[in-house]
Amino acid sequence: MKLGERYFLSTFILVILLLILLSISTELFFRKYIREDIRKNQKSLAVIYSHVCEEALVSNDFLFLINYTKRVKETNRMVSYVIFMDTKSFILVHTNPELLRTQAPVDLESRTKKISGITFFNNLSKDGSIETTDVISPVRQGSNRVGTAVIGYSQSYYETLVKQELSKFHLYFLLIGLLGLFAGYILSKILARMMILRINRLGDAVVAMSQGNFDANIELKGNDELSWLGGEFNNMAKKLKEVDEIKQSFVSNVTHELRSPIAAIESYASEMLDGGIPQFIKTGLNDITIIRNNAMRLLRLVNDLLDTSKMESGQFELNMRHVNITSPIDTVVKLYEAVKIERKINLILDVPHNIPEVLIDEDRIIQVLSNILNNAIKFTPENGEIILSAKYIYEKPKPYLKVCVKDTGNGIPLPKEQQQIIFDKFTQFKGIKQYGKGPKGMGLGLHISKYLIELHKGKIWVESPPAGTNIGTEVIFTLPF
Amino acid sequence: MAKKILVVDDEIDLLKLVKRCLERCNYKISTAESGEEALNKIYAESPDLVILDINMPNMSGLEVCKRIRTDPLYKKMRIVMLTVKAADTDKVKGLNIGADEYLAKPFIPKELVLRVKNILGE
Repeated sequence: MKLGERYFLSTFILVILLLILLSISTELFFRKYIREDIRKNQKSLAVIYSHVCEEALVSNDFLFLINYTKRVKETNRMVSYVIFMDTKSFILVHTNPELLRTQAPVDLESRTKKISGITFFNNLSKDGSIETTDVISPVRQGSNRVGTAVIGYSQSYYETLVKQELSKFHLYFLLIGLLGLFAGYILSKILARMMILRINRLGDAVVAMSQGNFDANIELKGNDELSWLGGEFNNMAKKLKEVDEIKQSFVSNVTHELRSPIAAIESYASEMLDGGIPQFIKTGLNDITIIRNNAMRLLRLVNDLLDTSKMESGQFELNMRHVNITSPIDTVVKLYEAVKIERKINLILDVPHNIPEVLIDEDRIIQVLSNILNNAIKFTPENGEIILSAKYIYEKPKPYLKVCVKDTGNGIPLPKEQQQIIFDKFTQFKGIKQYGKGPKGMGLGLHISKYLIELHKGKIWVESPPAGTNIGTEVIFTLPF
Repeated sequence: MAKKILVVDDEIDLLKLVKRCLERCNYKISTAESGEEALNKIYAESPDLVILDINMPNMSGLEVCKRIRTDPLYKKMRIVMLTVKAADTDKVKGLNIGADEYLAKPFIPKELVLRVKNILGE
């Protein structure tokens, strides 16, 4: 069953149960009320009649009393008989003329003697059911008892009357009940729909999102769990959109970065083939160098991408050897010799030769140093300085090697706690001035470097004072011996 | 009078190559490596033709093209777009914004030269 139908059904059943409960209690209440009402009327009639009897005794006008008594029986169908007797239980007035001027039966006599106020008494028939009900009221003159009035009501008539009143009520209540049912039905349907509407909207947005549209923004009005869910959903959509955007920009970035060197290689190769011998003699060497440089650039990029994929599938293997740290450092320095001269950067080395050998994968450490140095050169202005130092640190329990690359660039424009995000995948700095001409790169270099250093059981981090102070950035990594 | 051509690309190697090829045909070449530098040189030198790379950081070639076209002074200037993307959408985008020609990278220098000659009407 669908959620909406369930909601509707449960609400509707609740309404029905409520209506049933209501009708039962109202019925019981009404029944009681009707009976009490009748009793009240009987009581007030008894009071009036006893007053009339008293009056008759005082004024000695029995004719009036007799007529009144007749009228009482005639006007009230429920009345079976009316009796007025004196203190000796001698019947002075009776609606049944045969019982006039007779002595009241013994049980009635004993009853009337006992009462002090208006009393109801049920006369039972042979099988134990009520036949008539007597309303016995003392007749007084001042404080003296002068007689007793008895009005007898037929039980069957009483029951009929009650039934009559009840049936009126039943009809009325049936109407109300049907109305209530109808209203309940409509209300339940509306409620269920309201519930479902918001859930459906959430569902639609989820479908839109799963099809790639992360702009789906839901507005679930209200102040409850569903609107909260809608809000959280929007946050999630925003996050996914961010992730998607990063992915998109990465893809386009990589495409551009890979295709550029390929374009250069192909264009230069075409030029060399079409240019003719004289041109070849003039510019051939230069062109081949450019082709080779771009091939190497492409190789580096492809290697970075492969490394990243290896990292993610956990297939990285290191080739560890004991090496003096001066070896990889010298290699990297040589690699960047030309660039360093071109960009007029002063590269200062502070690498003592007496540092013990360290267990590393030399090629990978060259890769790390190359990445770090590349960045340093990229972000250092002309005539700037880069200091590459290596130190043996004596800390207990294990000594370690500390390598620092410090530049005089503009620093990282982020608060200290956030500076480490440069080691995240794809992070590149928009807005940092990149000196020198060169490709943007794919944002993977430092990410891979971090992975490699940590694979060596070392640590890598960056320290940079707030931007603008021109003290520069320092990338530091440690390696255990 | 030798025609002036401005070549814009953030890849220096390609820039040098195009310059060399076109100078062989006796055009006067100036270069720019960014969108902003390109606009400055356009306003300063009023070249007859601009060869624009689309994919450049900061200001893209499309943006430069848009800006040039909205300036009535440069209505007569010819624009050739270069890009590494061969997608049709970019071609249409480029031509929509007002480029006169469109060439995909990698390109054969000879072809570029032919196109340039064609546009400049020689």
